[in-house]
Amino acid sequence: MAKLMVNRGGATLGSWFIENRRLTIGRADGVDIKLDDAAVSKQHAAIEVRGADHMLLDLESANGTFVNGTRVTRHFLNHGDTVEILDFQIRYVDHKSVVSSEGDRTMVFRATDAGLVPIAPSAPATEARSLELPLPVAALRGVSGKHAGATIGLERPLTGIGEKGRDYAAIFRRPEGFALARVSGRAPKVDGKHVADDWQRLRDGAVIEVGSEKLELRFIGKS
Amino acid sequence: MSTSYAPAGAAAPRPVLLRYELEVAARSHLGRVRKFNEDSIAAEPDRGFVGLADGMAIAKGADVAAKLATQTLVGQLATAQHIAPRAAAHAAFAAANRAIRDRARADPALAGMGTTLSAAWFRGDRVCVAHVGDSRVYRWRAGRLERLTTDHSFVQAQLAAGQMTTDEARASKSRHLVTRVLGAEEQVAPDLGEHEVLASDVLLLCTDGLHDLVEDTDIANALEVLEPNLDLAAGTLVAMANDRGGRDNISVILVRARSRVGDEPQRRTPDQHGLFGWLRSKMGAEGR
Repeated sequence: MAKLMVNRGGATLGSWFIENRRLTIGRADGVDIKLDDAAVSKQHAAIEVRGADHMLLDLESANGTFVNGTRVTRHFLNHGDTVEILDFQIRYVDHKSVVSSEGDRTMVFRATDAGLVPIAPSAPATEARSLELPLPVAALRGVSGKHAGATIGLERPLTGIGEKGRDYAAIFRRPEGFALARVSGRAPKVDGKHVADDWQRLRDGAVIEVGSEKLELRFIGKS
Repeated sequence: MSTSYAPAGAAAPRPVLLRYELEVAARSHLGRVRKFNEDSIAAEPDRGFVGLADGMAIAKGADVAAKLATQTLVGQLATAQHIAPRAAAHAAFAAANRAIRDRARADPALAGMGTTLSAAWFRGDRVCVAHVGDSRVYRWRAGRLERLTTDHSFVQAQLAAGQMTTDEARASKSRHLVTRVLGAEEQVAPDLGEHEVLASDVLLLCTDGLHDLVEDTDIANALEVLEPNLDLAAGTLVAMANDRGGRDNISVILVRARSRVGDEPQRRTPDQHGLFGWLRSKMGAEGR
């Protein structure tokens, strides 16, 4: 369950669990998290539950609500975020959102008049959407054929070489390097050897032949 | 753990039921994090059918629910060759829902299992697309990728209601909240769409193991370059999801509608040309 830990000047003022309901923060009596300072607005901010997310809302406060140093009007909270209201610091802790060994689980909710009701227990979700592994950077230099002397960038995951519908091959940009496979027509060659219909890793300086085109792969670095 | 289907072979043509010959390439992969594959795929190109399911469970049975869904669908559609696709799809999804609920009632350990189900059923020159949940169906036509299904998910509903921006949706922890599944309730209705099929259309069916990690623009890039080789394309889409973490099981089905031989002139690929091409085709792709 997600938790809010409130600090001021290094002293812990308390912690609150975010149950399945709206939670208010402010100076007024009756709010869930009372911040006792005249500069805090009576109804300063709120945290709403949206599915598996917790959304922080600034309630048009006079002095603003900040997350990790940036002023926000609304913000979907992530594990480790620090919400700042004047000199109060509220840390958002959501351990269940930290990547677990089981990875993502699809969860089932039922739509009812009262909103969405979970019919499967809350399950681990991941913080980061996808793994952003660094990708190698390289380009093709035309040796002979229609790209002779030209440079072809390899920014996209897949780059086609040759003539579509005839002798055609593809280069696949992956975190571990570049690979080549035949797509259609005659099998392409790498350093003089034929490549089958499966991805074959390419070394720096590999000479690729597809139909009448001859190109050389040049590594540049990592993105 | 990967399953693949060979392209439709020399099956007896059924001109009345299928205007096109279907070429299918499919993969169902564990991914890089999960211990079990709880997706299920089915392809019956000769009957004009493909479908896939992504199972989920409170306790156990995610894989059971997914398999029951695809198997029931295949069985139902096989006996419904002459019923209108919409009616047949409706009945088949209801039967799959019933099969899952009956099984869960019979075995309490499986209580709370459910599954998504997305299917494409080709009839004549049309295709009926039916789905429940967040497994998607896309169409690749003339260099453009188009989604034919709308996810039954919390995030999709938030987006539609303007409650979330696309960027917020992308990063949302609610990405895996599905709002409609088979097995959860007594009645479930699939969303149905009927589309005209043009020669060389390619349909992509996939579970969220693919579309959660691989952006539509990257899926389009893969199809644009690899589409002539469907099998390579299917394997590569799975590899792309794994390169981005492979957090979930990844299932992909690609179906191409091909004009039948004799229907219109077939374009010969270069390696079918002449004696040399014939020799090569007899010997398999050269250089293997």
